[in-house]
Amino acid sequence: MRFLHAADIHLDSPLLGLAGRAGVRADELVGATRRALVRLVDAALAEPVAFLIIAGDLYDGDWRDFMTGLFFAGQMARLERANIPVIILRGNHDAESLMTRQLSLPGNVQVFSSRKAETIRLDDLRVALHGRSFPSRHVTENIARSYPPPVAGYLNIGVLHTALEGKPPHAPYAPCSINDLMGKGYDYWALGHVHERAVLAQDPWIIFPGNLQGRHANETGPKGATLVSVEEGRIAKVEALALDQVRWARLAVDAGDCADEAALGNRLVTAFADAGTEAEGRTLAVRLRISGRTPLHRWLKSDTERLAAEVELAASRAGGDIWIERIVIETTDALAAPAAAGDALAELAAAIAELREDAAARSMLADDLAALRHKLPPGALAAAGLDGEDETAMLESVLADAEALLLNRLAGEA
Amino acid sequence: MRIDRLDLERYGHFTDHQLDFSGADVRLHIVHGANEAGKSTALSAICDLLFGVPERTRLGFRHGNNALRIGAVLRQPDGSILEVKRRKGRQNTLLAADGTTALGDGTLAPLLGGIDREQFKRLFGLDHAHLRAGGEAMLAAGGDLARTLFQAGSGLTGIADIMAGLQTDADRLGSPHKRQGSKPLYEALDAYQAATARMRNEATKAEAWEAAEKRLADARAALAGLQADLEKAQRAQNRLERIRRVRPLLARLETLAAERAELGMGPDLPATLAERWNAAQTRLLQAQRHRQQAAYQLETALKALVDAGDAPRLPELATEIEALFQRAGSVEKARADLPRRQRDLDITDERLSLLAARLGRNSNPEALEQAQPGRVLAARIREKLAAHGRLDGARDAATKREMLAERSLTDLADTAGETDAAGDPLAAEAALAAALRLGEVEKRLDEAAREAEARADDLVTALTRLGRFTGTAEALAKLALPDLAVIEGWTARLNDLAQKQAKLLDALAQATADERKHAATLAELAADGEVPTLAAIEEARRQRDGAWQAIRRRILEKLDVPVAEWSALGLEDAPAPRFEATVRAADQLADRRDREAQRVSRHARASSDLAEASARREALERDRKDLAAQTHKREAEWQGLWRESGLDAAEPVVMAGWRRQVDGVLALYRQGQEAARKKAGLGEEAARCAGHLRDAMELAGRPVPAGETELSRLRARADAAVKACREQTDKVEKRRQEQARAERALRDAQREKAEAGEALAAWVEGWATDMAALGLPKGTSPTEAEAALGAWEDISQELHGRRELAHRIDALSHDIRQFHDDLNVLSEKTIALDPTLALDAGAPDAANRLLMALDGARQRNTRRGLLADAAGKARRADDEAALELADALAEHDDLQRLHGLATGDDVPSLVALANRRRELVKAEQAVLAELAQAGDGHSRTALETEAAGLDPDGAAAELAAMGQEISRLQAALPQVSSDLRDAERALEELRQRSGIGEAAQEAAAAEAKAAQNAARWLRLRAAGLLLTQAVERYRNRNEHPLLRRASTILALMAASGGNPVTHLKVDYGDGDHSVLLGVRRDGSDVQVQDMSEGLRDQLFLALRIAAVEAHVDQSAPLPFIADDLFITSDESRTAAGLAALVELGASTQVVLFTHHRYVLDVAQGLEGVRVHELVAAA
Repeated sequence: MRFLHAADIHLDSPLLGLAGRAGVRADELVGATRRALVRLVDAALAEPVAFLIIAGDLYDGDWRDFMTGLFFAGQMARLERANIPVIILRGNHDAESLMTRQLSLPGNVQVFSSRKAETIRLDDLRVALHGRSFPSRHVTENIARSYPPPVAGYLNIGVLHTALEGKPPHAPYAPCSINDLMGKGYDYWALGHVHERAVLAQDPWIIFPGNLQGRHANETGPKGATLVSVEEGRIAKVEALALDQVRWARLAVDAGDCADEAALGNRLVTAFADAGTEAEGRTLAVRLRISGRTPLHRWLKSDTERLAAEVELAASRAGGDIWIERIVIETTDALAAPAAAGDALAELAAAIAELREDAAARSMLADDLAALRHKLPPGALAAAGLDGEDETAMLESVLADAEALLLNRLAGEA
Repeated sequence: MRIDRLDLERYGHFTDHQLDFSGADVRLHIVHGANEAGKSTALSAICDLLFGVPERTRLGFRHGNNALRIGAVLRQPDGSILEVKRRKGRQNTLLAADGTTALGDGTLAPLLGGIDREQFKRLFGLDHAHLRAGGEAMLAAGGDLARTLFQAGSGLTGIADIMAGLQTDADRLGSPHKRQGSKPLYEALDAYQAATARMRNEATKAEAWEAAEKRLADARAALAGLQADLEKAQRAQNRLERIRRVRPLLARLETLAAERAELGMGPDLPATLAERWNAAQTRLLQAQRHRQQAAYQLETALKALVDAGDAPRLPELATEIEALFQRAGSVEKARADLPRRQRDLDITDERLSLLAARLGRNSNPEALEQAQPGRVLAARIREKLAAHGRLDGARDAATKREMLAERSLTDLADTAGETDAAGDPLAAEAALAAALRLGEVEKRLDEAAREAEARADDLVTALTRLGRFTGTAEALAKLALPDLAVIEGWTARLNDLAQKQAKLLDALAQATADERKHAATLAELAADGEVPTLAAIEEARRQRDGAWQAIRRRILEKLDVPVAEWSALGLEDAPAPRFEATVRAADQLADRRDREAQRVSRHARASSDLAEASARREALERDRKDLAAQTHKREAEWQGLWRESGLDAAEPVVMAGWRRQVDGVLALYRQGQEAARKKAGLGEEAARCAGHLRDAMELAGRPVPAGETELSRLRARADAAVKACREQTDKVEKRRQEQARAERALRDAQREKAEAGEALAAWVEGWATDMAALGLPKGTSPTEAEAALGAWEDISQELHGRRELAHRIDALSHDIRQFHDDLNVLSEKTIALDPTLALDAGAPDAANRLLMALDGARQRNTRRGLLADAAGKARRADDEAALELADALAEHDDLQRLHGLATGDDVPSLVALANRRRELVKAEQAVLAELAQAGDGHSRTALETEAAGLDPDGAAAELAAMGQEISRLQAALPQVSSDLRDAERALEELRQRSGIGEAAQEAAAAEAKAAQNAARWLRLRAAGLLLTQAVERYRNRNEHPLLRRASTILALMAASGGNPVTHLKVDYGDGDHSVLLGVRRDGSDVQVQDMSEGLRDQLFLALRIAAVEAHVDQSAPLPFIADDLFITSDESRTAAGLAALVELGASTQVVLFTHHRYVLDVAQGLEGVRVHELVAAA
């Protein structure tokens, strides 16, 4: 017997940070979470599995569009036709109190109660699933302790949406310790909430399957569900299934010994090609980080439009469908600053360095920053790195980039 | 650092070219070269020397990149000399003076002060294009002080463009301060708004879904109800209609049953029997007729076949007869050919007998075949014939060469003794080369002597010009003088004090003016009447209270009031009115204070400002005194500094100039000493040179004539002597080599002649053997042998032809014989098969006649076959007629037996009765079937019962009512169905909606785009801010020293003309943007925008020179390289520009490259200028 364990589907939530771009596969991004769900159901039918567990955050929140619920119901109907039961637990994003709309789901779907922990028995499979849905977004008590005792002679599975002991950067939802879980005497803990796949223990198995589809640059690498094989009432094997539609990657490229743009371009092509191979032909969304001490530093900081074009070119040379989410320049300058004393340009460099340290200079930018904060929606502010609380650090970073930009233009003039 | 000498050893088209830039007193080196002389190459060489030759240089076109070499003598700031060479390469490119020892690539770094190639070009290089661009940039900046200073200081001219570019780039993205829908930032924000609006509007609501589902359920229920009513009505209508249908059918059944009973019983004969019976009778009659006809035809055919007789057998031999006939043609041809072949054979035999006779042999062909020489023998003899020719030729040629060699030796012996060698040319050449290596030493000696003299003259002139000192240069060198740096320190210090004093005076004047201004304000207020200040009110009240106290004491209390007090209070004449007046005055003042609040406030402010200004002025007065004391003290210290030298010190700035002059005089003094040393050294070198030349002449065997001392004549004589000595020696050597060659040729010819003789003897011996084998005598000549070989070749060919002819004749004879044998055999076989044939096998057309007999036999056979076929066909027709008759009889019998008919029955009548009975039964069955159909499956009994119980008239009315009800229900059906379809479609449309995924993704994308634009905008803004601030900061730090110096230089340059600019000043205008102005001699200002192009160029040059001076003052001085700065200047401007460069030459070395001759002409009038001619290399 085999079953599938998924979590954190966040159905119909968009992929963040990808600026518009025309492309053959531009529609890959739209509905990526839906297609990942379809793949999950495809996998369940192909195996076929005995049942499917969704351990919380099926939805990103209350449906903005009723079609979200209908789409899910449609996929569950496919499983119903194959007699595959689905057991769902509500998490912090789709807690009972958050979901104002309801939809009758097919008969094969059972949802854990949010009032108290309960056991759902699949008697013909001799499987008992224990769980409790989140009644509201903030569940701060240890609900694992209230889970029922294991059912004798059955395979016992605990289903829980939890941040465990508050794993940063996740908020401490339904906190509990691994010892709490081990002490329950279950065979398998199907957890949800943490978006990075993790196998926390093997006896019993305690697993976060990760989310089904990465949605921004912090959710990189293969995403999907966990396929569990059971032999003679015991867990025999677990394996990760990659079901994501769009793969996120953070690529680090060292421009340290790149003497010119062509050399950097070649390095980028290699990095993109490797990432493309790793993504197995999926659409790839990339956050690119260029570092190293390089003579290209000022150019990288200054000519962002051409850099973006060069990066796009390298991506297209590497083949595959690659979207650039952001280019982060963390290089340092390998070109010597003008050193001669008495030279106006050298004095300029020194002046710029001093101004960067100068609170008054920063304050002159504060108006601009405030205007931007007023104009930009929150998502854009976050993407531009302007949503922090430490305004000094923000302006310091802006001025550092501006210095490189300026030196590049002055060097062009010289 | 200065370049004392630049060696273009192998660089561009230069080879071993030097530019001497030495001389501390030279303020400006002008390198003049016509076009293509290599001005740009020399310029480039300076950079390559200091910073290395670039990887992709184009200057190796002549010597090759690997051989490129530049050398230089560099003078370091401490006066020490560093001689270096630069080669092209990746590392260790800087070499010592020996050209091989690597110095390490960082050796020059301390001299360069850490600047790189680009910085050097920017800071220490200036050409006309940059000069003009600098002027234009000042114009573009509107004379903005900060930008102008920065551009001059950095050598950059595009600051304004960069500022504008940053602003343009930021504006292009869109500013958060001002909404502009077409800018990318706002496009992204608008896209975000649009996408979020779409998300709101296009989202499918749960309520919409539920409503659609309910509508569908309602429509389904309505349709189901309608369908149920319709079914019920249709059932009732069906029953009534059924009864109406079955009534006539039941009646018809009764009628049919009655007629069947009437017909009674009889044999049941099929309806088709009558027809079949008649057909069987007809067929029987036809069969009997056919049988009779067939029997007759068979008999006739058999008779004709017997009449045709037996078949002929000759076709059995058809294959052999036809084959023989085909061969007959070729046999006839062979028979005709045979005599011709025989004749050819006879002719061949005749030719053979003639050839045999030529060799003296029997003409029998077999004997000739045997006697033919073998191929090996013939080939050997031919080879020997060829070898004989070669050997004979070789012997003749050797004999000829022998004679020639002997003649040459005789000729050489005749001329022996004509030449004889004298002297040692090698040693003489070495001595001459040693002298030539020293070059034209006499010229250099002369030059050094002139140089020493000139240096001495310069020194005298400089000493004379130097004021404040009257001694010799040696004494001046020993004088204890403060260093220039110390003096300049004092200059700065005293300048600083002077500036402070000037500022103080300005401030003092300002404070005094303020004081006056505030006093005037107070006076002005006072002139308008008393100001109702608090003090004035208090005074008025004091007056009022004092008057009241006095009046009260005197009038009410009757006390004494002193007269003085009484009159002081003005109460002498009319105390009451006076008191009332004071009361009124106090009240009025109090009232006015409220009314004239503004005046009061102005008075209070003026009073306070006056006090503050007075205090400030007093403080400044104190500062001025302190500063005066400080200045006095400094001046005393300054004088003390010069005390030891015994000189009277003028102002520091004057003394700095004088000190520079002293340095110049001392440098001239040192140069004079150096020139004298150089002259002495060159004298010794000239003596060495003369010694070498004398040695050369002695060694060449031509001694020096007595009294010859002049070096140039000595050099010419030595050169001629060495050349003559060399020619004589070469001639002797050449004759010796010719004799050796002739002797060697004689020996070779003799040896070859002997070898040819021996080979011929060996040949004669082998020849005799071969001739015997050929059957010829041993004395046979090669020509005879060659003829015999030819005859044998002809015989061989004839024999070959004869063999082929004989073989052909045999083959033809054989074919003819064989054909006749085969014809005889076939004739015998033919007769055996058909004895009627009378054949003669020997007849010429026997084969043809055989073939004709065969054709006749074949035709007879064909005819007989046709008759046999006809007989067979008649037999088969007879058989078929017999069978047909038997069949007809059997059918007749079968019909009688099957239907039980007796012979003689009227079969057609019996069949008609049986047919009617069957029709009645069938009609009854048809009615029953109709009844079953019309009765909706009910049984006949049930239908009879149902029909019996209904009144026909009532049923008709009921049926009409039912029809109307059904019509009504059916009319409603389309609408209800349509409603259902609409409801289904509406739900399906909802189901098919794509959702808001796309809009949500678009919103996320728009946020990302807005973020990119915003981040970029903020950085561009920050960069603009940094640049503006930094440029302003540079102005703050450098404004005064740079402007002061540039002002001096510009005044120097622009001194000519009617109303020249005499100095620069700054207009602070609105305070934000200070502007640089020129001030003309008449005091009028000129803005940068109003300056002529030439004046702007001069202003930029002045600022650049001031900036370079400031730079070298703070870090390592490097040569300033100017490239044709004055190509568009007239003579006076050129002179002014050169003067400015000479001024700069006091601070650092200055080299000007030009290809204009007029620049040199202008420079002639300037001191401290040295001109170098760059000569175009070949």
